[in-house]
Amino acid sequence: MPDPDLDDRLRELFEEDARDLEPSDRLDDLVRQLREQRIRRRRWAARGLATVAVVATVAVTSAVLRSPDRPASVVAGTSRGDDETLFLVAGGSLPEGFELLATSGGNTPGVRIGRGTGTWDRTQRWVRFDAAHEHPVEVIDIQWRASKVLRDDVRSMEEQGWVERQSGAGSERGSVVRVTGHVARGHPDGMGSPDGSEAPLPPEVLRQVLDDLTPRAPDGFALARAPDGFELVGEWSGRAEAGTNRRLVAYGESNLRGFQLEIVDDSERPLSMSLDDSTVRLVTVRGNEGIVAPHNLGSENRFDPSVLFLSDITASVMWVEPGGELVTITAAGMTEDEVLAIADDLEVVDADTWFALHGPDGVDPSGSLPSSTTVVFP
Amino acid sequence: MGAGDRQFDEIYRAHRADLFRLAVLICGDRTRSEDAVAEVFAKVLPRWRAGAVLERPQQYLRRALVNELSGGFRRQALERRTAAKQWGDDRGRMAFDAEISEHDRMAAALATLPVVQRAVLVLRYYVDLSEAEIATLLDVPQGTVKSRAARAMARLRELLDEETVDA
Repeated sequence: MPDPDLDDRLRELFEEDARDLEPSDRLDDLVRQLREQRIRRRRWAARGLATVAVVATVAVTSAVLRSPDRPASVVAGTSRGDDETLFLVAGGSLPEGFELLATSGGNTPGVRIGRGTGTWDRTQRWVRFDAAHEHPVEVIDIQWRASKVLRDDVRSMEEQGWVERQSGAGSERGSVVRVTGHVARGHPDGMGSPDGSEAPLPPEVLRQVLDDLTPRAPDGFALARAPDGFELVGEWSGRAEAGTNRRLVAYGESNLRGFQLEIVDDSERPLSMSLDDSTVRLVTVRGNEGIVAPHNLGSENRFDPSVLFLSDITASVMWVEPGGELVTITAAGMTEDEVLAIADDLEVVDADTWFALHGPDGVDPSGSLPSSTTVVFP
Repeated sequence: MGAGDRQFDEIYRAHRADLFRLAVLICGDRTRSEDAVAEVFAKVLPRWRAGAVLERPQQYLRRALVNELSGGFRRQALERRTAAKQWGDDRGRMAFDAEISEHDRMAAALATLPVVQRAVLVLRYYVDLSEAEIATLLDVPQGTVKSRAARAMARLRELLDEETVDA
C-alpha cells in the first residue's frame, strides 16, 4: 500500500545521508592495489620455474629460522632507525614443534585497514581497578556525538546503566552526551543481571558524573571530579583507524595450537578500548604497558582462512611499541603465560629478513603492492 | 597503457563518488563501501582489457555493486557481529540510540533490512528509479522488485510503529 509519508521520509533520509559523502583516498589506494595485484597474478602465473626456486629459498630460510641453533646473523636484532618499519618474529622460546605457518604484509606503508563505524563521535573511559591494580572492576564510559535532537532534556535507562543529556532545540544539530556505567564484564559482582549483561552502576553515580561534566575546547567534555577510585584510561574516536601497513606472521604445530602476531602502524585504537572486562589484565610486555586476556583482544580475525586454529582463541596480548606500533598476539590452544613468554622474547628483524619469510606472492620489499597471505608450510 | 586501462580510468573517475554514496546508503559503512566499490572496479577491469565495451557503464557498475554488497554481507555478518562486540562504542546499543532523533530512528530501522531490500529502497527513493528500471538494473523480474519493496516498507512501518508505542 502506498505510504506518501514514509516515501518522503525515506527520500529525506537518503538525501541527508548522501550529502557531503565523498570517498576517501583509501578507495583510490584500494583500486590501485587491486588493479596491480591482478597484473601481478597474471605475470606470476607465467613464472613457474622462478616460483619453484623462490619457494625453495623461503623453505630453507624458514627452516633455519626455526632451528634452535640457527646462526645469529639470520634473525639478529637490528638497530632500527626512526623511519624504519618495525618487523618482529618469534624468538628462541617458540614452543616445541611450532613451525612458521604463514606471513604477509609489510610492504603497504600508509595503507589503512579499516576503522570503527562511529555510533559515537568519541568515547572517554574511566575505570576502577582491583586492589592489585591489574583487573578492571567497574567501568564508566562518557560518549558524545552531534545529533539532530528533539528537545533539551535528560534521559536515562537505569536498568541498562546509562543516563544522557540532549542539548539543542527543534531540528537544529545539537549534541548528545551519554554516561554509561557498569561492572566490568566477567566480574563476579556483575553476574546477577538476568539477561547476562553487565550489572549497571547506581543511577545516582551516573547522574553525578553527568552533572560534573564541563564542555572543553574545541569539543567534547571534561570530568571535573572523578568518582572515587576511578581513573581515566583512554579516549578514542568512534571512527578510530585500526592502523596501517599491517604485517602478520603465524606459527603453530597444527591447526589446533598456534598463534598469530600482528603489527600495525598509526593505530588510533588504544588499549583502553578493551578495559571493560575483568578478565583483561594489565601487564608489562617488552618494557611497555600492555594487556593480556583469555580471549581475543583484536578486532577481528584478520588472517587467512588457512590458519584455522584462530577460530578458537584462548589467549591474546596487546601492547604498543615505543615507535607507536600496535602489536597483537592472538593464540589458540595456548595459555596467557605462554603467549606472554613469546611476546617478551620477540626479536626485531630487518626488512630483508622479513620479506625473505614471505612466499612467492609476497616477496616485494620495494613495492607498493599489498602481499596476500602465503602459506609457507600448509 | 592500453585502451582498456584508459577506459577504466575515465569511468572510475566519473563513477567512483556516485557508487560510493550508493554503497554507503545501502550498507551504512564507509569502509565496507570503499572495499565493495574497489572490488567492483577490480572485477570489471579484465573485461575492459579484453576489449569489452560497456554501453551503459553506470547501470553495469550499479548492478555489480549491489551483487558485491549482497555477497559480501553474507560472508561478513559474523565478522561484523564480532567487531561490534569488541569496540566499546558499538556494543549493541543501537536500539537506544534510535530514540534520539527521527533521522536516527529511520536509519536504525533501515539497518535491520536485508541488503537486497535496502538496495531496492535506495534505488527507488535516492536514485529515483522506477520499479521497471530497478528490475532492469538488478536483472530480476519487476514482480521481485515490487515484492522486495513491499516487504521492506511493511517492515519499516512495523519497526517505526513499535518504537512510537514504546516511547
